[in-house]
Amino acid sequence: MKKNHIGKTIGYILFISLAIINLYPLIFSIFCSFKSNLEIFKSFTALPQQFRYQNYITAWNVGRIGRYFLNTIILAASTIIVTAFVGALASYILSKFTVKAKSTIHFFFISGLMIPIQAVLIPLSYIFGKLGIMNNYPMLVLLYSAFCLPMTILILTGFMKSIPSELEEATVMDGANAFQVFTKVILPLTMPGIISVSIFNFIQVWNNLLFPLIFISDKNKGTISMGLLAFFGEYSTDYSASMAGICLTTIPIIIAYVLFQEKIEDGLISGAIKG
Amino acid sequence: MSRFYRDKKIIILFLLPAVLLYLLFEVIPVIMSIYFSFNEWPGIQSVPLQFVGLKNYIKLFQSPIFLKSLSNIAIYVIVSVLLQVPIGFALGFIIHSFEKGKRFFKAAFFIPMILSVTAVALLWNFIFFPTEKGILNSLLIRIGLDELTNQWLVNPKTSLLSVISVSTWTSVGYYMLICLAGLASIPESVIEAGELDGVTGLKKIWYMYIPMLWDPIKISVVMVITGVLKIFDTVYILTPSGGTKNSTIVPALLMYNESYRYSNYGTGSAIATIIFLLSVFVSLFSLRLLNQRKSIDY
Repeated sequence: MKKNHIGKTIGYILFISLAIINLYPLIFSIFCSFKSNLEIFKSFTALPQQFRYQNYITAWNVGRIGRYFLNTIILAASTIIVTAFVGALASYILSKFTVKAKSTIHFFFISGLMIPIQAVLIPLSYIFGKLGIMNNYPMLVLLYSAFCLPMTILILTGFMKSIPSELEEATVMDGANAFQVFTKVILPLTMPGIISVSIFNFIQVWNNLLFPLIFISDKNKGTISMGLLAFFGEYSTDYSASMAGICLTTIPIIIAYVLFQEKIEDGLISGAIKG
Repeated sequence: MSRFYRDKKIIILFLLPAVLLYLLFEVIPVIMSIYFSFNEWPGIQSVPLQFVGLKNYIKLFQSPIFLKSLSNIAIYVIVSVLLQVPIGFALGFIIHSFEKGKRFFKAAFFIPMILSVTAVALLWNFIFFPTEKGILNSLLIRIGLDELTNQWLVNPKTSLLSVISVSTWTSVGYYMLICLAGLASIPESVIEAGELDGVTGLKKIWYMYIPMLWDPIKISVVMVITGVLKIFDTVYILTPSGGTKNSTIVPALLMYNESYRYSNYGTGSAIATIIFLLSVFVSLFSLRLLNQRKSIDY
């Protein structure tokens, strides 16, 4: 028994080391964000000699990380709201109503999962260029929403099917119309599913680089991904400030993840489990 | 109530926003992209499309860069499947066997997944930095393996594998979670019954867990493949032009470069169409595969 115990402790220690090694790129970025450029060039891996929070001020003011962060939040938040609403409406019909060719319509939406975003880029640049709608957030939100719809409909239809119809019936008996049933009964009961899929959608928008790269040219409207990238190009010698920029954008996300770990994990794998 | 569920006006009204969004931003652009691929267009609004038939496709399949991008993506897919799924599931098994610290371990391997891909790729630039200052190189020097130091992202022999290892780092946490979700759904009584029969160690994993986790494993493989086929960000940031001697060029990056760098939008559309067809083909094929054999019931 005792031998087993020792084995287990060694196992733990090895695995903890592995976990820390795995997080090393992040630890490294935090250290570097406090170093001067000279220190970074002397050695990438050494500890900072003093805590230079000036790097963060540079990243915030010159690199405008705050601006990019806010822009990305606005885009992502608008997208998850539009997607949740539009997706829930369609899912309600596809899960509860009697519709001809229901499974065909369902498949029509779900097959969107197969469309890579590269397949729409050039025609959309063409159309957006013709209409002169570059740097247009509402358009970008609709575009993101369209790409989030298939997964949203897949998850929400599954979720709504499991909601018993009694509550709806009671509400209809009370004289409510379909829209009221939807907002008062269906939406609240589907909330856990909506939150899961919204987390999934949020990460998609947050991480996306191609759409903003092509459809946003105005620097004031750039996203985090673009901001970090531009930061490296323009101030390529200022590694310390760009490291601070990386930390400024990753730390809020990590804090959010640690706070809502279970919820976020469920949200991200719900697609895989349902699919 | 059945009248309520048959109301045509409501059905149309509720489906309409989703159908419109989906048609306008996905279906119609995809069809246009296929049409564009039979044309030449320099990306200037005043210049009209010029129909050229199959020319873009013929040019592509004669172009060494495009063929290279296809072979690279094939290597990318195979290596990613062989790395991401086994590592992810191994992590899942180990974490599942621990009683304490599950939350911490899950977080440690999952965090790379939720970081912005740009931040991740920029960080890995420092790890693969070509001089002896680079994190990986300085580590190799410190442990006395000087001869292994390399210009990881510059050397055409190592660049593709280096890029693949970055996407592996970000993705394994995802497959770890899928494995853990699968393990959580196996009733304990089944495992206990196996243990009573004397099944232990690796045998337990091979003969008991793997068959019961067959569905999550298949789903993971499909997700790795479909994800890798459209990979762009990581490759673009680590090796913007596609690496020395096109060693890291992938179809999505080639499509971006052809259209947005060199203004050959027709060629770009042809590549986009090929990526689309590849993605549909692989998805449908894997969907059939998924439906063929279910996990063993218990």
